Amino acid sequence: MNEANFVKIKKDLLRECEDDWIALWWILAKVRKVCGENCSNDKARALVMRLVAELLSSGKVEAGCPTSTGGWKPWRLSHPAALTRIEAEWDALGEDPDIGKELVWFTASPRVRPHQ
Amino acid sequence: MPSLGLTFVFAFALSPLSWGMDEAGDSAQIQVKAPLRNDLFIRNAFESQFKPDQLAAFGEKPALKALVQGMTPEQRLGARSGLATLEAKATKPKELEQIAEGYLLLSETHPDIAQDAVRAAVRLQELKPGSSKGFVLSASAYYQMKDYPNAAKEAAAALKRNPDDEAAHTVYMLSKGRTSVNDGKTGKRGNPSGEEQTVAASRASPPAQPDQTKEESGHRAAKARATTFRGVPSPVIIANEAIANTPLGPFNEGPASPGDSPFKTIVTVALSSAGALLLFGGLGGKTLEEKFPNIRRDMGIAAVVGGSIAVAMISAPALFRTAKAAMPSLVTYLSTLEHRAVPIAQKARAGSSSMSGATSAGQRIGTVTHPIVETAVHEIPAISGSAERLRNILIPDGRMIGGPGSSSDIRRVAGTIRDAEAMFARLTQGTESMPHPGRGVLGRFARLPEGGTVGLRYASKSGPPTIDVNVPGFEMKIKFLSP
Repeated sequence: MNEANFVKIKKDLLRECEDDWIALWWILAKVRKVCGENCSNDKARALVMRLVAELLSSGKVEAGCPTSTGGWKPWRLSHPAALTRIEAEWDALGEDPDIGKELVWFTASPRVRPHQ
Repeated sequence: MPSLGLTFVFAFALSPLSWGMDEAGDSAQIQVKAPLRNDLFIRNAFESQFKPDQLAAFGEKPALKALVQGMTPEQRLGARSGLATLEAKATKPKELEQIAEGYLLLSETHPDIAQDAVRAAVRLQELKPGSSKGFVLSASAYYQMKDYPNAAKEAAAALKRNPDDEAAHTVYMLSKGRTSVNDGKTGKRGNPSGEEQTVAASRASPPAQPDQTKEESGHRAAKARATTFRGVPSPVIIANEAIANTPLGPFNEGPASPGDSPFKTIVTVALSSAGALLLFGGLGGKTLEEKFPNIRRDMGIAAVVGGSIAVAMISAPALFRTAKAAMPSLVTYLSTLEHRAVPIAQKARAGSSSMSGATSAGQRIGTVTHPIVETAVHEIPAISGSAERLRNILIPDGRMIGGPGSSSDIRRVAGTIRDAEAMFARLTQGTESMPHPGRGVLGRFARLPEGGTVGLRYASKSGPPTIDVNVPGFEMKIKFLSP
């Protein structure tokens, strides 16, 4: 994946995070779509983690998960700690994240939502 | 504090919509479980419907829900009468709360009983206006009655009093954005505040701002809904909304009472008065035949013309109604033309690799051109053979359904949670679905035998129910926005 594609995916994700909770599998699917068949699992995962790291460090996106009452529960973790947790849970999962095995969701940080 | 000792049962005759609970036929239940609470005040109204040996079969102190499920329709009505008797005597909030819950249990199979629950809940609200309990109960009852706007409003009122009330939040999330079965009509519906409420299609306000729940109907609602589609609105939706919200002036549908059309009455009276004045002023003391030698011939002509006008006025409403009914078909036909334009546009694009070719191809046959034609040509992903069935559903005729959302893979279609469930059932046909296993996600989930997963979330960040598709070769989200 070239840098232009990487940036495009990141922009897409930032926009999508305004509208919905974005799960890890969605980011992985986007990466695979651009990488194509030449992208190994390890490479795809590395790209996903890089995207996640840049999204979190931008301050525009936060990690967490939806609640059963329709709300949002952010992880109260620093960015490095969040990345570590994602890596650990991904390892423990033993397979790629998928629908139902989201591990983590992302959404636009309240601080930077357009209406605020 | 969750206050409801009983299990809230919201039964609604939709396709399966449940998590972690039994399903029965077409109906399903949403259960919001809360800690057990004393139901002593109403228990006898339920237990007294059974003979002792029948009651013993339920075991020691059976749950009221189990009793209700074991009742015949006659026994349920008997329990309703028992509750009504108790309601007449009830003076304490706890008693009214139990009674409302009892009515809700019974309304699972008799939705009309939910009105009784509203009545009891309103009394509870009056006794404890600062508590969320009465509002949660009324929200649940309105939900049971499929009066979703009022359900959302009452749930928002409950959340204003107790933001942590899970039952209120659940009802709110399941009600907002859904259209009432009484869509488009306005009327008083037992609102505890006594204000007139609209039950027209509307989206309830978010829980954080319950005060902002506003009435919304007619053109205002249509405008709000149309703008939701971010620049690529479906022509069918917009046309239908315009048709549905366009008044027909003096020939508008509705009861034909004299007071219904002041305009028509005023015009009729004015014309009659003017005619009488002209007639008397023009005669000048002469007889009609002296003044107008050809009056017999002219009266004949006038009778024919007047009769024709009368026939036209009588039949005009029917003609308008017919035209109105035919408009959606016309719009659908135009949309079909648009569909036909897409494959040709694709061929043109394949040949020239330019959007201008595609657009001109669309224009050649189109008479109907729309931005969605161009959008579709760009957004056809390469998909694997195993996803063929999903492709046929989600990308019929080579065009992705709906309009684009925040990205091209996120589609926005007009529909309610019921439509989302129907779509989910189609996508997962032949596959057993299960409650969504995702952490904190309410919805359904299915793993497709040919590979891939499909999930239905009853709520998303922005509100609408959303289907997630992750199939080798393509991924999509389909958001259902209330039309």
